Amino acid sequence: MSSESSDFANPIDLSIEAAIELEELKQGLRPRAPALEAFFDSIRTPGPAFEGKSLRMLDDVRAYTVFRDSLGAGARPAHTLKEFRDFIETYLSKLETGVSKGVQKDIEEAKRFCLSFNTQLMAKKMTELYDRRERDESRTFDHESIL
Amino acid sequence: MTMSLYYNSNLKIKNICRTIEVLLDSDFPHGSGRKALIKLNEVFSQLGLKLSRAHRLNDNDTVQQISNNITIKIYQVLPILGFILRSTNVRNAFELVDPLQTIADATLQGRPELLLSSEWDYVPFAYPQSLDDLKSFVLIGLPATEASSALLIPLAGHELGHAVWANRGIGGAAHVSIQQVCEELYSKKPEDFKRHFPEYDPKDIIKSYCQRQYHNLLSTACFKPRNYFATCLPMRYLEKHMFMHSHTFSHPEPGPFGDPSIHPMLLASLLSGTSQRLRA
Repeated sequence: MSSESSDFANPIDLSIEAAIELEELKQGLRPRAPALEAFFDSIRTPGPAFEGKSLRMLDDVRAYTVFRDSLGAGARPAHTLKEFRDFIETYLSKLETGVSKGVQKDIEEAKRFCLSFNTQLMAKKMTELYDRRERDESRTFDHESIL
Repeated sequence: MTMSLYYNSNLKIKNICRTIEVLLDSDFPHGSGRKALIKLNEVFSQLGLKLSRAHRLNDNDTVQQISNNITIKIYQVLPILGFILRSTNVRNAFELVDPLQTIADATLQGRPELLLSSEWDYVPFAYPQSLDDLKSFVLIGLPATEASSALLIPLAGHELGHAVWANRGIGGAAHVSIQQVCEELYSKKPEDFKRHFPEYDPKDIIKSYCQRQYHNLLSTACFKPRNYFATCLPMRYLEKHMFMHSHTFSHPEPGPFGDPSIHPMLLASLLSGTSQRLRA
């Protein structure tokens, strides 16, 4: 039952680990869920980059669909990027506080968010995989026209 | 249903681990192939442990999600297993591994493990982009159909350029600037911007960002410098060592904000940083 959060650095593995730890927390098998903190940190912290820091996931417009679809019913229409970013940051902080205090509703919501986020990231990975394997030229190639 | 899903996923894990173990019995000319297989075996073992933990908790949602992860991971990893197996083939140009490893050491952070293998795909690939589990590995596949061409050697350098792009997080750093330029351009010349991206709606910016047009802008803006960077990297190295010019070199097409690309200054800084390291 030991936390495996330190072994994983990518949000896909961290989100799954966090979901398991939250379930263990819910069932009273562990006092806290450190993987959730590691998962949220990975979203908030910029990764290493070429001569400086990279983009943190929260600032990356390419990740906005992932966040929006992971929020589910909790999503609120936003008019600007900043507004949406602020909303997500507040949402994550609220969940963190709720989970640390052992609020059941927040634990369940955090777990739902982790699993949903994992689904969205996996879908993104699959899209990348398909894009790589089925390149543009192969899609537009019409075999019948050759014959 | 969840019970059968659990057993099914466990069986998948066992099968993929068995496949990896069979591959580990091969003779590897370089240690990196074996290391990559051991790493992948460990990844699947960890997933198996997570699955068992979720099953013990009777947590159906998580079991389902981990099962999805396992299926996708197998789908991602299977071609790489074939790639690693082909890397042991004596028909590969093993004499290229050491020079390429030297270039990789000079250009990538950390201690990259280079794996050179063949592809039965016309276009060569560098694999690390989609596989988080092999971050420290650079997998370069050369098209077997083009084996008679000496220009495959600089092409391997081109593929290394893709790995540098991913390893140094250049895409992320470039994206910040591109995003700023987009916002700036929209505020200065909204009409021009809308002409290129008619679905852009500042009142619902989240929705607009998800639209294909805007996504195309980002991928175009990111892809062009990447292509440029990837092609220039071997060029500089090869020119220095008086090899041959890469036939893969091409100028980027005009971007949406003019010719030749969206960020000539950004490109220049990226390229100069790397060439300085190569010169050093």
